[in-house]
Amino acid sequence: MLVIGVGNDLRRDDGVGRVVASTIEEMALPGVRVMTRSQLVPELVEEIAGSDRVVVVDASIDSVSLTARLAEAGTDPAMTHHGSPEALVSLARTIGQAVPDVYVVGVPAADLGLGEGLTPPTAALVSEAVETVLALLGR
Amino acid sequence: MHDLVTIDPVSRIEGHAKITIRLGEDGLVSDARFHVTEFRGFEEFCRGRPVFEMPSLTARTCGICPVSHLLASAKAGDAIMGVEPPPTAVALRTLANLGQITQSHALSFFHLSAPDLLLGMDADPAIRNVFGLMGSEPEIARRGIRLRSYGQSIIEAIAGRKVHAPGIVPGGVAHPMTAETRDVIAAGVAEAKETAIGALELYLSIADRFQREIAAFGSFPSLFLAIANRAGTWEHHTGHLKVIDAAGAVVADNIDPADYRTYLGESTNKDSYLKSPYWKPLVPDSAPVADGMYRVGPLARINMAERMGTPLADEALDAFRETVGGVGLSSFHYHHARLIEILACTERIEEMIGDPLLTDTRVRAEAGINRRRAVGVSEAPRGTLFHDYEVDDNGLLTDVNLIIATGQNNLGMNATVAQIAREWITGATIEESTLNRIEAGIRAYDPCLSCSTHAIGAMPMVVTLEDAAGHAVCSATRG
Repeated sequence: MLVIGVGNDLRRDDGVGRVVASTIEEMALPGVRVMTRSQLVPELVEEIAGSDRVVVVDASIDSVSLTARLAEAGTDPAMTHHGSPEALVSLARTIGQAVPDVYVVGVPAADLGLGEGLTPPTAALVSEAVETVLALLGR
Repeated sequence: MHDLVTIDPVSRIEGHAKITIRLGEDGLVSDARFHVTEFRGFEEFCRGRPVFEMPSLTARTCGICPVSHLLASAKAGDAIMGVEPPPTAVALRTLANLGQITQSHALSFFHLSAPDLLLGMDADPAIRNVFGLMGSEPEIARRGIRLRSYGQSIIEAIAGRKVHAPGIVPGGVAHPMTAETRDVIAAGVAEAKETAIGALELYLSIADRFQREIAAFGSFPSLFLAIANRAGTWEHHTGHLKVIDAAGAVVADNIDPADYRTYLGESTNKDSYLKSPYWKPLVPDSAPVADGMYRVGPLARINMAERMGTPLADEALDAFRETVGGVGLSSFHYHHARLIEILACTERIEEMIGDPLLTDTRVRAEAGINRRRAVGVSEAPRGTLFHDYEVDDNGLLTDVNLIIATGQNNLGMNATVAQIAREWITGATIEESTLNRIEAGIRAYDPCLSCSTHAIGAMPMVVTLEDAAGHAVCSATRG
């Protein structure tokens, strides 16, 4: 099992993925690896292919409530430096790697400006996000 | 006069970027600009911070090239402390930068540029992406990922994985390198070099298809700026600043980075955060700053070098010079330059990895605050990066100025977009292939705006066509 917290922790709520991942890392759950990254990059394909299940946690401005979805290949073909979970799944499949289910948990972000620390509305969602990730991991 | 057309936005660069193409009264392209609308205020954000925290702070802003900021920041810190890092620390910092350039250029070529280059700029967008490429060339894709991973492994060995506790610090590096780590790096270099050789051969096999693009993707005279060394070999970390012109003649040499303000002006645009540095001696008071355009990055570095300094890269540089007739002026050649640089990196890693100096335990000089201002400079993959710090007696920052590579290429990118638009926009409609080429022209510079946010849904990228009065007549956004 792999949890990847994504985001820039110098841009306020953009760092919430890292906060959620770090919280899970402190639990030291057996069989669960935790990584934090500024963004999803192509070599994560190897990490993903070696896992039974992957949960990516990231800030989101697409919704006002917590979201969880399965990353489907082919819905976002453009791999930029800001790669998406969908792009990673597509990449892994295209080069013939076995791909586990990759889930994406999106935590609503209120402020993406320069600054350290989460805003209160986003911080209040961290525990719910942690529970969501644990549920997706089957814990 | 113009129909509203849904057009593809800029893709495969990052950040909140937009391109504006302005038409004149005659309906022809009169101007073009590449804007960045993010990341105001970072320099203000740094004020009051301890100088010893600055490497990790600036590294946290950029998820793509944190090592570049670690190096430039640490060098500014070295100077504020008034110390010279021990030779082993210099060697390890150099090795980290070789890993950095390798991984960044690998991403640029294999994932961001290769779909255009190998599948063609008129290919169906459904396949003209990295997945279409990998479907047809899976082994290339795998080797590209492994090359990037190799570069990353060198970075992690020296700079560390934890950005908050970086391995590159003022005074040197935080930890010596163990023999075991050195052996792992040594074991991977042969494959990395083979991949670099193969990538250059692949590029050379298809480059002839792009003669029209080479002629119109930023093909114009400009100055070039880079760090140079006394030996005249390709440099990426230690040396002085040097500027050459479009004929390769030296315009300025032996510039101390601390004197950069004598030579570099910075124009701030009201509608873009991206500052546009320019060469001041060419811009008297009333002249447009575009007259002082200079380019940085791989093309500048290889144009600057008398030779690369390693055998295969030297051959590659000779062949490049024969192809372009001396100095490469088209920004399309950034692709070629990046591949020559990856090859040079792997050869240099191979040369230095057996040196016992690398595993010496003296890696950090210690001192307090001995200077109130200093400038640290390093060649990031995209070009020369400046960290200019002023501190108080306690080492807290009172003023900060950062000049990033992408900013220094802003004037060049503007001129490139205008040139491409003039070449391919001939009427009232905009073909998708034209938009592809505008995007590809920007991508040649491999701009990095990674300091911007990237949260899901927060990546609008916009291309806008404006009429002579500045009214948008069509635009497209990817949200």
